[in-house]
Amino acid sequence: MDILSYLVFFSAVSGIYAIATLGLNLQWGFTGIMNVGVVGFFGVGAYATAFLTGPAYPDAFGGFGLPPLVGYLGAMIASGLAALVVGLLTIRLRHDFLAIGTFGAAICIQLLAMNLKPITRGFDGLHSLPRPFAGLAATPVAANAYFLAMVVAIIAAVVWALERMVRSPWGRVLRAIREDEEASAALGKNAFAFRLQTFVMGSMLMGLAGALYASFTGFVSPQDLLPILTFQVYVMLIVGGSGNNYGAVLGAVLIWALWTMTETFLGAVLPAGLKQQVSALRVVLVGLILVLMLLYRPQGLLPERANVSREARLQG
Amino acid sequence: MTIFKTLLLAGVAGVLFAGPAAACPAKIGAVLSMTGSYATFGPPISNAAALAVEQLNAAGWKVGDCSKLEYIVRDDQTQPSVGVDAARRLVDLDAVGAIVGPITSGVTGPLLTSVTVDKGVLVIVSASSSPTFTEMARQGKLKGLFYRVLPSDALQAVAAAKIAWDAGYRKIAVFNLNNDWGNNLGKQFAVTFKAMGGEITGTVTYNAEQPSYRAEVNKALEAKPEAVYIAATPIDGSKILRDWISLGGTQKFIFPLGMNDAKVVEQIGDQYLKDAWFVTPGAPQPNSRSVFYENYEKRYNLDPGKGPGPGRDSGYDAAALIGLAMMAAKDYKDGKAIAAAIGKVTDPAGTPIMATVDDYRKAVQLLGDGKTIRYVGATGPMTYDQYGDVSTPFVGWQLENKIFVQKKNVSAQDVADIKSKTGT
Repeated sequence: MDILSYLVFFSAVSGIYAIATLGLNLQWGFTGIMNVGVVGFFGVGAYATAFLTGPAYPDAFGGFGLPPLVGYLGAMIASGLAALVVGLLTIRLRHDFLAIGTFGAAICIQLLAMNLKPITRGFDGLHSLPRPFAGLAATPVAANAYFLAMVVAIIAAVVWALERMVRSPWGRVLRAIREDEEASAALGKNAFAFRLQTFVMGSMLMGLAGALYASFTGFVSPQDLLPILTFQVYVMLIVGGSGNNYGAVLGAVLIWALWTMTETFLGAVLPAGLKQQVSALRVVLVGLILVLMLLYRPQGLLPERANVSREARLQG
Repeated sequence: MTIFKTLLLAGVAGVLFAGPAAACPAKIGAVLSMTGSYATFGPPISNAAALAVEQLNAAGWKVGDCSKLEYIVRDDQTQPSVGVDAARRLVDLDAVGAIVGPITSGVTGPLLTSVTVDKGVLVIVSASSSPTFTEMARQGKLKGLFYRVLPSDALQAVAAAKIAWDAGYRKIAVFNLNNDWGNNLGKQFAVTFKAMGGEITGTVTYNAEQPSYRAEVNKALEAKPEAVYIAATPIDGSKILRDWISLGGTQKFIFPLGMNDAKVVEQIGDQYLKDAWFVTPGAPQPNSRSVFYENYEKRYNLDPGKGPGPGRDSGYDAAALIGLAMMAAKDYKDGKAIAAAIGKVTDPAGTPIMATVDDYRKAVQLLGDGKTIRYVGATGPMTYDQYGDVSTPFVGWQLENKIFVQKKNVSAQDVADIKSKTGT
């Protein structure tokens, strides 16, 4: 029962990461937009849902006490708007310049969360956010299980929608832009518009992930907005398979397991003398697996499929 | 691919193998930053907690038929989502009833709201000193399952302001890290010092992990302060001090807990820190604090004087309190019962028990007979209010031959008096 309780909890968090990874897959996997500001949009979503659904604080903004679903929608809108602003300014930049631009945007968002104390309470964080299903379920474990079911349903819906989108003519343009932006422009495609669209849509998914995270843990602070999260989501996508939506979900679950569970596992199997070093060994293990993946399977566990349309079947 | 699959299978098997845990040995969990940006703090705090558990075992720790206490630390990597998962593994897979809590409040917050309170697990934090948790406790959100060993930042800064005032400083600059800890210390110091009649020339906040702090230091120096209160972490603090000293700033420093680190002294040079005051929680000497440092140095083969460092004493006390409370509760699984027994081991009328194996032996006896004790830990005697906040005495340290020496004491009563007198 307790193992079940942990697995439910673990799956819910890795599902949340999967949603962010799906967002990044649309941007990086399909369109080649190097967004290194994943955590920024995650953070906008987390704070937006905290403002909309959270209790009233005497010293912060928000406290509207709206239902979680409104919070999630609001979070997607807020992160979409943030992405629109960032995107209009930076999306014309190429790879590394765009990476620097989006990274800067994410840092700005973290600094805002840290310093806009009358609104965000700074490092004190927004606490006691309502956790969905907490009142409906008999036990906290059941509440987490309902939450997990909701996350799984959201992932299923997102994957279904993304699969349809990337297999449509619209999706084929994305890949054309990724492979050769000049060529697709020469064919009359407005690369800027397509890139902006995917940037905003992908970031909305990241915002949704942030919103789910905040309402699942019930607490949000600037410490949730550290750049490490962007790195984690990239690792998840690269290991799972960039350009494959199922790969993105698989990568999220596997990498999150590697990031967390290995500690308990290593603790159980290592000889007593090495137990003190478990934390450091885990970092080594994550790095080792990343390097091995990049060396021997750079396309990821589930590589991108070559067929670009339901009607067309190409030789892989 | 094969390697990956094997590892994954092994991982799943390991997790399944690891739990659910057998009932005995009793377990004290810990979620600490062993890696990540707070990795300088985590391992020594964890060592201190492990020492407490070793000593309790050596003293014959016992609850019912179980006479072995085990310490399990999990790494939060200084990232809240990882810390929350680590706590979940401790309560679900290792079946711990009580946890030595995280260093940073950003991890402690979600850990409380999404794991421990629901599950009825006690958390005693070693360092998270944000007032947020007092606020949550007041709203009844923590169900009495949260305790601190460190007094909240507000009290620490009041003691620092008193030490600054008593040292004769009247015109002080405040320089603090821009996070919950730094801002709360800075704000409370400024408010208290002004209420005492002193002048604050200005408050400068800085962001962590910058390559240089010249701009911030220059800003703080503009008003020519007579002394400066610097609430910084050791790594940033060393950089700030280098810039501060090279730009000719005053060497009358006042530091909070954290800067009392041998590394800072090594990097800056003790000739520049002659007038520095290091203000930390703790009781007058001789006390169980110095005993703790001796034991810590002996256990981990450190040179004398290298024992003191941020959070070690409080990490030790958090684990010792849990171990003692388990005996008082006659239960090591039920967090609520352990939490309810904290009062029995910090009873002002109880027999004083210091942080030594001999005293723990007495405690085993007394608690076994159903008597109460007063744990006088490495951070001094503790008194808890109903929100899990602690009041402890404070100590002002100065350097003599590169070793921290207690020079001034501020009692818990002094701090309370100043607070009520200045209305802060």
